[in-house]
Amino acid sequence: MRDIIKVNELPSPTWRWLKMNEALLKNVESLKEKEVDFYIPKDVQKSKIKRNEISKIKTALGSDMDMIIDEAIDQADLIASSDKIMGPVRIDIDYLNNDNSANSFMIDAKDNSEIYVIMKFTGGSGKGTGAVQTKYKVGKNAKITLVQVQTLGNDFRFLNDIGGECDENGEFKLIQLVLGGKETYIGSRTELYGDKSNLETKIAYKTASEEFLDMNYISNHHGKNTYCDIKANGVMRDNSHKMFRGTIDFKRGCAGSLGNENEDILLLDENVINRTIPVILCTEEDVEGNHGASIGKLDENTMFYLTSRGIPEEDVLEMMAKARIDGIKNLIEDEKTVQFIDLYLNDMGAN
Amino acid sequence: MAQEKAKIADIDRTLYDFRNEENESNTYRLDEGLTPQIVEQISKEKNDPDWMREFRQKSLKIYNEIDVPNWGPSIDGLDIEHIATYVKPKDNKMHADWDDVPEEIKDTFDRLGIPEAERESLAGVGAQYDSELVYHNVQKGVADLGVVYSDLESAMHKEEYSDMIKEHFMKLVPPTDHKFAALHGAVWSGGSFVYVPKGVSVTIPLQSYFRLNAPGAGQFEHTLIIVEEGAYLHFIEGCSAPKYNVANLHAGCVELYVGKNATLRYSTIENWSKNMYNLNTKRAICEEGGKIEWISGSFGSHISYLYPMSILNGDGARSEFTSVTFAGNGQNLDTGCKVVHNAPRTTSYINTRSISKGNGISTFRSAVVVNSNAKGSKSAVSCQSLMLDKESRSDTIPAMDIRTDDADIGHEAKIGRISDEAVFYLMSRGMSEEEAKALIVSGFADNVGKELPLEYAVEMNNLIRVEMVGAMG
Repeated sequence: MRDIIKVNELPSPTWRWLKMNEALLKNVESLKEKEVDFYIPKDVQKSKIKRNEISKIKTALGSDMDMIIDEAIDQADLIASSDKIMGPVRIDIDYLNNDNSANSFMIDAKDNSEIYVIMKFTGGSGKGTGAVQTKYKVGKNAKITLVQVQTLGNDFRFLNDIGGECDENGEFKLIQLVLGGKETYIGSRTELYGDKSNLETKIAYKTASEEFLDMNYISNHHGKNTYCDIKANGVMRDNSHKMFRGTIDFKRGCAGSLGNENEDILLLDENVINRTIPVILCTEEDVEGNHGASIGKLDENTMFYLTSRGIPEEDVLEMMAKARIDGIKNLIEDEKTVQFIDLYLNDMGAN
Repeated sequence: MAQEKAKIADIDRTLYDFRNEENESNTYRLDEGLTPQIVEQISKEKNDPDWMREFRQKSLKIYNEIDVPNWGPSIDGLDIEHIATYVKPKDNKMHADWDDVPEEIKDTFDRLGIPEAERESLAGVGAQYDSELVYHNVQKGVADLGVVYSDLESAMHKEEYSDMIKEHFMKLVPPTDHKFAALHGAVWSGGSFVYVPKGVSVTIPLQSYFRLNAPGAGQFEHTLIIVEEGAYLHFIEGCSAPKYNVANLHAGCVELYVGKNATLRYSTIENWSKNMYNLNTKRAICEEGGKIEWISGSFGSHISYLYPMSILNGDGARSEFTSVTFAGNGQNLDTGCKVVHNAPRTTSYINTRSISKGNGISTFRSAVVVNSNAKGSKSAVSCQSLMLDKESRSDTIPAMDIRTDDADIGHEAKIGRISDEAVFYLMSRGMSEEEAKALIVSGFADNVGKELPLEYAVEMNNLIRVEMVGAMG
């Protein structure tokens, strides 16, 4: 067991009193590899790769995450494509009570290929820890779309770590829905090495009860004319607590690059804690970086309009929360996954 | 359209970089370094009351226990063992008439235009040279209203103010706040005390000017301002120093108490030389309906850590922070602000501009904290950065910590270069490329310039408008 590990470090730290520079996890149990359900479409190659062969790819949660995964696993599941794959790769991890498990994946989209990967993290109704690290490489003119849906139980701790690189004209699209888990540490780091490489990150989260969500998204622009768009839609309820770190780093030489970062958070209960630090680092003149955040409760006019139509206040809040999640959910090009999310959200609403 | 770029020169610092070499030797300075004996010596020089003597020694102990910050620009080049914490002119009497100020010191302030500014547009002036105030004066009409504008040490020894000062001194910025607040608590010297009674509106600004002339020295002035209920004050602070090859340190402290429904506008034009480590701390607390307006222009220093903080402690208290930072060659200016909403219906507005050129680094850093009791509060943050070439760096690190649902928080930031389209548009109206870019840069920084009193904007305009236009080419 590790007494303490440090994850989700902010690339450029700020005042210590804010306690935003990193997240500290206490009492992290030793982890064991978890069995996974794969659905692999035709023309996708699945094999294993030694973790030390992909150790140069850096991730958002950082070196302590590497360490706890390395202690549990020495090989990652490798998913590789060399063509445009029609159907999605499905990876389902269903956690059991008292699971303390780790998984490592590598997605490799060769030049001119395209792959769509859907990961689903479910279960975890009792105490436990799940740690998943996904690394990727996007070749020239290639595209990876990675969808992750998390509906874990409210006693479960989950670490979800992503890191990868994009070559020239490569595209990485990440869609994440975080809908459960007692403590979730999540992040993605992308190196846009190739000219015209492209990152799109869309996150929807809903936190409630005593849940804690800690996020770290990093886009490093190296190539010319690179592009990133990071958008997070959040809904917070009860006593939940969220920390969002988003960094766009324009490295010298990435002329013509553009980065946008936006967070829109709806606060639905009095005791929520919402913390945000959207960072832009810039050593290149010819770039444009924008970030924006909008944080607040539902505006009175909207609430008045909807309640005057006979909708109870609590239903209005749930409806608005659902709309935020739907905005991201509707980007998923897989009916089965969309149905799963709808079912889950309806169950949550019913409860 | 012409692709060749206009070259934007550094700010012309010749106005500020002149040295008064004769006076460098005509000073009394304590040994370099920081020991209990040196701190005790300062207490003796100041004839400190017992509570202040103890306070200094306690602060020194805290200084030795606190780490240097691990998050901002490197201050490895600053070695406190090579800084003289107390330097005074041999004739260090404070005067109320410019004619009585020693000639060589008067010459320095004359060249900076301070007496002229006093004549034309100020209600009172304080001038500090190294560690000591050399001049302090307030217009009779203002003094007759009960306004006190004096050096802090004299006020501390006066019966009518001593308790007030003891009650407020380093209560907003305790020595435990950070390492350089502790250093300040140990070796502070000079600075101003302003008291504006209830309901009094001081319509003409007061100004303090701080000049650090000695090489390898520190300036640690303390400014304490109390604006009572319903009163108004505009206080202007200016600072400069000549450039030396050794590090100089400025670790001043500003504590502002804004009473119920009172307003305080605190304007700063900081133009320290490029060997200066500017580790300054400024903080204001506002009671119900009170308002603090920070206007800040940061142009000088080698390294700056500067983040004025507003604590909105009363219902409906307000804060506005307007700033421009220009980081040129060899400068790493880490500036911004902090706001704590600690009462219902408080509002804050932050509007900043950063410009970086050469290998200059400009960082905007902020924190907006809305506590759970600050229901109905609103905050808007807008920060824009302009990079003038490929060698410079510009970062924005804004943090928001919101602990209630009943708050409306907006934030926007933008980083980029001068738009080709805007240059093209202006050139199509007959301007040269240089003129067009100069106009755009000047307009970019105008958020601060337009907030200063017209009469006093000479220095500011020199720095952010006239100098830039003049230096293009």
